[in-house]
Amino acid sequence: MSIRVEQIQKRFGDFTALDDINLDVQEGQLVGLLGPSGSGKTTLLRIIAGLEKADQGKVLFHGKDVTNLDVRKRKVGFVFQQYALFRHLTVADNVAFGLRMLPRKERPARSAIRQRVNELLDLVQLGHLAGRYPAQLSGGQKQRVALARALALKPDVLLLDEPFGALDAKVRKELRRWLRHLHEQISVTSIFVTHDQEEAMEVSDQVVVMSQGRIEQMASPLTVYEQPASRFVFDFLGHINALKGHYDGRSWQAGNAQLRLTTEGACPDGELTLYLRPHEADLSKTPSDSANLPVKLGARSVFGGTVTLELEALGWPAEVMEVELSRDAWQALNAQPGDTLFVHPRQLQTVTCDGNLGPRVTPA
Amino acid sequence: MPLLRTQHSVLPGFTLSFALSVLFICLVILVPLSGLAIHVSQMSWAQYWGVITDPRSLASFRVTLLAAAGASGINAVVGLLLAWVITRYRFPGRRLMDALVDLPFALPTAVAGLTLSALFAANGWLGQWFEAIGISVAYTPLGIMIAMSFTSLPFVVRAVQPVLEDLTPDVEEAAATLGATPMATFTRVILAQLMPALLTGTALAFTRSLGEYGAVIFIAGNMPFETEILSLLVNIRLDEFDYAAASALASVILIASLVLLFGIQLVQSRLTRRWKGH
Repeated sequence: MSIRVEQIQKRFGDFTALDDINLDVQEGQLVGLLGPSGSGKTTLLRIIAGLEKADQGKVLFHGKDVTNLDVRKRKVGFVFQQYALFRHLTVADNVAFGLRMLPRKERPARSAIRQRVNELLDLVQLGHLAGRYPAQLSGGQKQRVALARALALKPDVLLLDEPFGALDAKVRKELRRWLRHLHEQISVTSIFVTHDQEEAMEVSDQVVVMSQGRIEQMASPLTVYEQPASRFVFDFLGHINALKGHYDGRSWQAGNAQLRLTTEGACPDGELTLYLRPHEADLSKTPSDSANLPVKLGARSVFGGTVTLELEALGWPAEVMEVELSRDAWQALNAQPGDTLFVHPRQLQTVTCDGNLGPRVTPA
Repeated sequence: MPLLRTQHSVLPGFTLSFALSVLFICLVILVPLSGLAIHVSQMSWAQYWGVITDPRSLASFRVTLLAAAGASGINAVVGLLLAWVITRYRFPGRRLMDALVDLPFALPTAVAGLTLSALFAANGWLGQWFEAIGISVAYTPLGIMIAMSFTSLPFVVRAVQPVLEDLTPDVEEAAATLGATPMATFTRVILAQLMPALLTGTALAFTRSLGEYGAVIFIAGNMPFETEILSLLVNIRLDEFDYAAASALASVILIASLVLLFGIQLVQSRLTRRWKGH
């Protein structure tokens, strides 16, 4: 079932939580609402669920206006951040709760309920824990019970609020793969909220990046990363290094650092800020004709296939920079902490005077 | 499992604090209790049986039990309501209301009894309205019930309140997304989780009511066979220097209370142990 959100407005006192939100979710998609805390993503999710009322605007499910439909009748499955399991009921009874709440005419027979519960518990691979109480489960298990419970009534729409927020890193990773997989199996239109960029990128068909009650961009994960619609999106997706300096028409300078490049993005007074993504630069022990950015090698963190290096600017003003090298490149560099190195950006993002994104540039 | 399992704690002094607790329990509770047991043990079974099956005693058991049951029933409902209002809503005077709940504990029970009997007497502020619709409160079992529910109300409120505060709103929202009506959410989700605390509070209120003396005797009328409560009968036997009979009667209240308290403890711990995941 497709979801459409039109011109949603929501205020809490003086605080504007959502400002003119429009959103279209195609049937069967898995959409991630991504944003920092306070960006309004959870409020939007709750409005779609019917747990919160918008001040203005409409919510449509499959073209039908459900704005004023009670949460009980919306047929949404909702997974809460802290799971919200019924602690006085067993796992099986938790999952069966929704079925038992159906009006008598629609309620399946006891045996049918039991069978459906078993199916769901098998789906989330928890059949062996049917008789346990929530307090006897691990975080990941609770999460899966909450999901099974939300799916019991075959909802038209599945909504998940920070579904992996309270889990440790390893379980998170497993569960989100599993959620992706599960979604392929049951393909119910789903929206989940997260503040974790990696999570949104890995799980979603479409990512909706939100900031201060507005949607900054909605696109596929690849597009959001490669063609960010705004400075906020660029900034929010992964770490960036901001380099502030002056541009004289041929080269960018800050202190004794220099980059040769051509762009039209600079301010009239010659100020130019460049964003550098950590993986879009190389390091060497000598400067080149096009780039002279001297840095001192600080802490390094070796994890997986990449090595993350902290670099302190030498003789020019900049925050501590972060550059990622492949393990091979790091070994070939053969550098020690304290060594002087030079950064060679492969690609940079210019920031215009009014704070928007300018053209991409390459030093040459 | 070892008899005493002491976990390593950053605060020392388990041995001392444990010994002091045991000493205090002995001095204040167990020694007086054994005094009672000694008195009772001086009687033969036949004598004991004779005292407690005496028609006047049986009548007083009946009055006491029924009134205490009624009072606990009222308190279970009213106490839950009070706890609900205090924890769920924010209104001016909430703190005052919260503090007033403890008043029955603070007030000397005799004062409470006098006040209640003045209020509910046939010509009292409240009693006249009841009298107008043909209900006598003072000097009837109804009056006993009201006095008992006054003194034991805090037990229910204070037992339920912390559990109610711990219930998070998302659980109720979860019930709503699963199609539960407000009524079903209340009974199947909230009340179900409150049950152990509510049972405990009500049982405490009940045992307190069984032994209540001060607040009740002023409003009861104290007619033998009709409005004479057990504690009063114990007192009457004491005035007659019939210590054995007094002890025998007291032992009945005591045993009833102990059985009830242990029973509740058992049910409560069984329920909450599973919920808490032990």
